Amino acid sequence: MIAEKVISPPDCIDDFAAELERLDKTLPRRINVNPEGAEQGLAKLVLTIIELIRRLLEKQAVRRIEGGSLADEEVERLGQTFLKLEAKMEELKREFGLAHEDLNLNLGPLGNLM
Amino acid sequence: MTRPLEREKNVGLLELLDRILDKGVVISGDITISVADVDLIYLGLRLMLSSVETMEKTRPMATTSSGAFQPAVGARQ
Amino acid sequence: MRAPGSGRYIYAIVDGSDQLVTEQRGFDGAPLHNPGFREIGAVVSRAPLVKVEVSVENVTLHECIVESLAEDHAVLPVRFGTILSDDERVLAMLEEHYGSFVERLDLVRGKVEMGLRVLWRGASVREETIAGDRRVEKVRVEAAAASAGRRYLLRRLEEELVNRIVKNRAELLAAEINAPLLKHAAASRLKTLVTPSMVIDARYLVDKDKVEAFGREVERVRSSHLQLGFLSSGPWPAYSFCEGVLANDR
Repeated sequence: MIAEKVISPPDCIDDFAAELERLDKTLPRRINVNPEGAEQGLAKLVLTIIELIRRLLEKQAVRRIEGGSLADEEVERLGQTFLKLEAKMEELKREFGLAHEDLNLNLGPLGNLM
Repeated sequence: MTRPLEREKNVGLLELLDRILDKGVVISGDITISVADVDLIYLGLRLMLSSVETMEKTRPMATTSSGAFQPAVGARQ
Repeated sequence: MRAPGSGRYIYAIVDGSDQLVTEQRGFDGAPLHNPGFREIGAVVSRAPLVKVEVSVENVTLHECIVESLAEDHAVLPVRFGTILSDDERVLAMLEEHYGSFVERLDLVRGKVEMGLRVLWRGASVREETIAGDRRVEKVRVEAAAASAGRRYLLRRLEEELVNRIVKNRAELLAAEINAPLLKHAAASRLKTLVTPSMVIDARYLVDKDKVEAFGREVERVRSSHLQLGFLSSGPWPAYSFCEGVLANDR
């Protein structure tokens, strides 16, 4: 019954399978918050929030640069801060064994975080 | 290598899950699979983001010379 | 067969109350019943007040019940795993949302949902954008010569500019593909760039007897976009045309 829902399967069906699985992973229901995975589940949640905020701040800075309202030293200083934040995030992800894709999150009308 | 029918089943299942788990009429009841503690936090994040984006469109944030963020008074993008 | 639980697992909202035309059984073989409010009802079965496992077997059962109901009724499928504590709660829920249920049932009556997903070569589109846009080129040149902090932010700016152009292209493509299909449908729900490769995720509400004509139109559109990947699915119950979270607990 389920296989019949796919109408004239295309040649690129494997690509679709990969993309659909990718989408599937971004939704909350896949989060594992049972006792064994609890620590990782929480780390994932916390890091996703941090990643979200980090990206919002970066977006803000980029808009300011586009608008030309930041002085050169400010741009350099902000950039350095973001570089450090990025490095810290990589460190934290490594510590908790989380990959880039693990922090992806479906933000509804805003699309995915990553 | 998965046989052709397997792939259709996989894709068909993913399409079904997309609908049956994330679409359809949503009733917050006594027991649902999607309204768990962690999920509520994610729902909250989404709402927070939507309101930030909306806020951004009407009142873009500005930085003061010290680098702190504050809402720009009266400014429109 | 275990003794039935005290809760009510809800499968769908239908345009009929009490009378059900089905021999189907719900989870754990529990019979289906259809507590109704005026002319609408909620198709339920008794179930224990615990989470239902998301398994292939369980989602398939839920889907089969919804599809079977759709043969004789207008149906609003309810999200998997929804359980209310008793019939009174179910009736209260129906009463509270009676107006919008009736409206949506009218919308979906006699129709099915058809899905269409389109893939493009996301990486190539990005490369073309980078190569073809003067402003992007300018930012790249500036970034290469900048100090580390500045370079980081200029790279982010480049990304932002490219994303905007790519998003624009995606929306143009979506409009182009959607226009002929919408002529064969009562409604559509469209998302662009749900992943960098999945440029279109579209759902169409199509009359049951227009499904073949719709399919032919999809084929026509596909054959004039051979560089893209097309995935058609369906027919489905109208899952994507039931939006809105309904809070029931007070």
